[in-house]
Amino acid sequence: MTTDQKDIAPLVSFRILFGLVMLYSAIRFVASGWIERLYIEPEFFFKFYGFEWVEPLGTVGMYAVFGVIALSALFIALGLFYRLAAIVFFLSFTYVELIDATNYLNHYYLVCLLAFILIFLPANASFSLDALRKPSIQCKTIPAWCINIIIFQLALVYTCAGIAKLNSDWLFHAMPLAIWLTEHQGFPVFGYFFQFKETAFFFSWVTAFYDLTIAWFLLNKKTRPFAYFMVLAFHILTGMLFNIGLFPLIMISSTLIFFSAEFHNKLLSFFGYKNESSYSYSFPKFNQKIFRPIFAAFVIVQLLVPFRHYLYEGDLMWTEEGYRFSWRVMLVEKNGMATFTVEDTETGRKEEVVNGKYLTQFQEKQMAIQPDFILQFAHFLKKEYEYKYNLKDPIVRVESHVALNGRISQRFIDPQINLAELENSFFKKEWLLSY
Amino acid sequence: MMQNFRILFFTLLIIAITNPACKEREDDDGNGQITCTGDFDLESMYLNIADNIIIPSYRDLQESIRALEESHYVFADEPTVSKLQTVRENFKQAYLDWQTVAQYDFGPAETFFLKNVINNFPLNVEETRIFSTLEAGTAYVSDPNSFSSGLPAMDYFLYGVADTDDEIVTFYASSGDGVDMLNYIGALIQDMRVKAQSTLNEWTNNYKQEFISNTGTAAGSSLSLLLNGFNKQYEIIKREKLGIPSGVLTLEIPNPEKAEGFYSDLSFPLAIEALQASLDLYKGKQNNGSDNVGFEELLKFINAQKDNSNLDDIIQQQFSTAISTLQELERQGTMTELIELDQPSVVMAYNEVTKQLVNIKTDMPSILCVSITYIDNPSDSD
Repeated sequence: MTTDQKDIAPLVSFRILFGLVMLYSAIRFVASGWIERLYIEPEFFFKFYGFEWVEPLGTVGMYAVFGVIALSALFIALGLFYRLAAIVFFLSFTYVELIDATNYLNHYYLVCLLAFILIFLPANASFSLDALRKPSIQCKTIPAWCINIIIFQLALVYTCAGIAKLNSDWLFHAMPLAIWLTEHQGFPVFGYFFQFKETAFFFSWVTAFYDLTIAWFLLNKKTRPFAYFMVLAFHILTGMLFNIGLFPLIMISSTLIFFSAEFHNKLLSFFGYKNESSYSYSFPKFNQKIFRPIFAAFVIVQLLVPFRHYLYEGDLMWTEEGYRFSWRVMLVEKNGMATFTVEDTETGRKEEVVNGKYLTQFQEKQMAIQPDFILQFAHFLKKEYEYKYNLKDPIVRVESHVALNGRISQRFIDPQINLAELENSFFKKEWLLSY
Repeated sequence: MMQNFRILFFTLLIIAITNPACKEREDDDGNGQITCTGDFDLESMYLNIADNIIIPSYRDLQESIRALEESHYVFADEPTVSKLQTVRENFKQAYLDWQTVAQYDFGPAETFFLKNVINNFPLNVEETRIFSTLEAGTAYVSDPNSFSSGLPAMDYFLYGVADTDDEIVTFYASSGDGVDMLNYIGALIQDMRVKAQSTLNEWTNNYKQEFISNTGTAAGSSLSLLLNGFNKQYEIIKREKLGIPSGVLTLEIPNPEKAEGFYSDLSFPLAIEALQASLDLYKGKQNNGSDNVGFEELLKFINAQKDNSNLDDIIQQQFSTAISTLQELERQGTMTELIELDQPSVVMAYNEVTKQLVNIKTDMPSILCVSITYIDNPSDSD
């Protein structure tokens, strides 16, 4: 936390855009009927390790939570009761993401992180209702790290996404893009080219290059306008091609923060922004003491987490150990099947489980390719059969096969192993068969 | 500050370049073969499947339902045992013919809810009894959610209302309920005939062109529809026709009464016919006719390999094992008998049928690059 100061304008734009995009996101989620389909209809929810206790709240409760998300997002945009709004938004949004790990998306994780960062930043110190209420908080400049931390986060997302693309499937087989692009031959103008493998290779290499370098080009003043044009082109195109929801909008709006203060002052002035304050914001001594270790830890964790897969042996795309929270976006096409059998240890009788009794089709599809989900479901089955049939310590086995990036399938898990006895943990899952 | 970023991302680039994930996956034999459908002529495959398999099969079904209807009215006019036998023969033919089209549950069949109209099973016997003797019971015949109509109801009406053939004839000839039921049967056969006819007409008049030209691998393409339909039907064979009756899904407690064709004891013949139809579609083979372009040729064309064999060989081998296992059981007795006397033999047949699933449900979509999207995605992805 150096004493460098930067003009507040980029942060102000960021705050407003972030709030508005999140408001739109909440409305879109509700309007699509996803609350019912994702949080009311399922009987069983997959959990993140350590967050098994997070449960959905029922129809009224879930609608209320989304109301809170929408409202707090609006308050962030307006800069009204800003810090409270940021805290409430972070907690409510993160809560929803924790309910069912099936719905994990990298950009939702990014939203959680950005919201967390925003809690600590004085983003309401200008062009906000708070500053209107209390003109004393108005200021012109803020410590530079307040903007740099967001730049760091965004640059990290791109760079890690780029690093993840440097694997043989992506670069030398154009996989999975070759699969996905051929599905879009009806696409206007470009569609014709999607039938050719060369197109998939072109896109694979271009996107890998884009992800690896875009942060550099955005940082550099000379290349910035062109780089931002590429941001627009890239995200609009991928947004039209793939079902990636808000990701393009989030990146297009967030990356504006790379631009200079002059740019943002001009941009905001179209909306009546004027900042005649001459104050420099400085955090109270006490806050400085707390924030410094928090953000030091934050940066270190963010730098390490995407690379934790080095600690596990085995093919990352196969085992998915260390896969989440690592900005591995649109990287793999996997499909699989998992058929569970429960055996009564006393009589030796067996029953094949109909997954659809407990899981939605989407959950079933996601489970079949993610080993920790398979284990969670096996544990659920153990309890369910103990309860439903009064079985004592039933054995749960799974017959599972997974196919990766257009290849033939392979057996995923040892079919003899009793999953009911295994613990879920961060340790290497020895019961996974290697690729 | 800029300097810090430069150093940071330079370091990350170094990490990137030394990325161990860059190594080839083991099964890649160097030629990097991930071809999807390649240059395979899908249109000619669709043309063969539509012209030589789907449309003739619907025509057969439509004709056998018509024959069933005619014999029903002859029987209803003046029930006798020999007329009952004729209706049963026609019923059997219609049920076998149904097996050949069940896997095309998309397009016209989906529009007319053909599967629900013709073969919602297991039958809800209680409800069937009530509806068929109600004054306005025939209204339930065309309800797609009903489990009291279609061929499963016919199965009960022709075999299950009394113990002997004579008693069945007497029931229809002289009881009030019997007369009501004949009425209901007439209505449900008519409904099946109309929907089967509509499906056939739609295929020949409109849908065929759409089907043939709908190339590509996206959800909704003909390849995706065919492969999904093929898999959905295969799962029904596995689960509904064999798994549930044999007790695989209920802690080995059998439920023979839930089998398809329980009253007529046609369960094995129907399951075998269904498997045969799956195999025929796979091979691109006409019903009892010549073998042309199908999935078989497609898999051979892209040289799909699994465990050092041709995937095509594996699939055909497994089809033939599953079919012959069931044929062996059929020789030994009815499904009800076998479930009672030798349940493990039925479970074994179930296992043989199940072994195929990974080949057609996971491998085929993966190597052909077809998204299995009868599972629709309720959310975004990234």
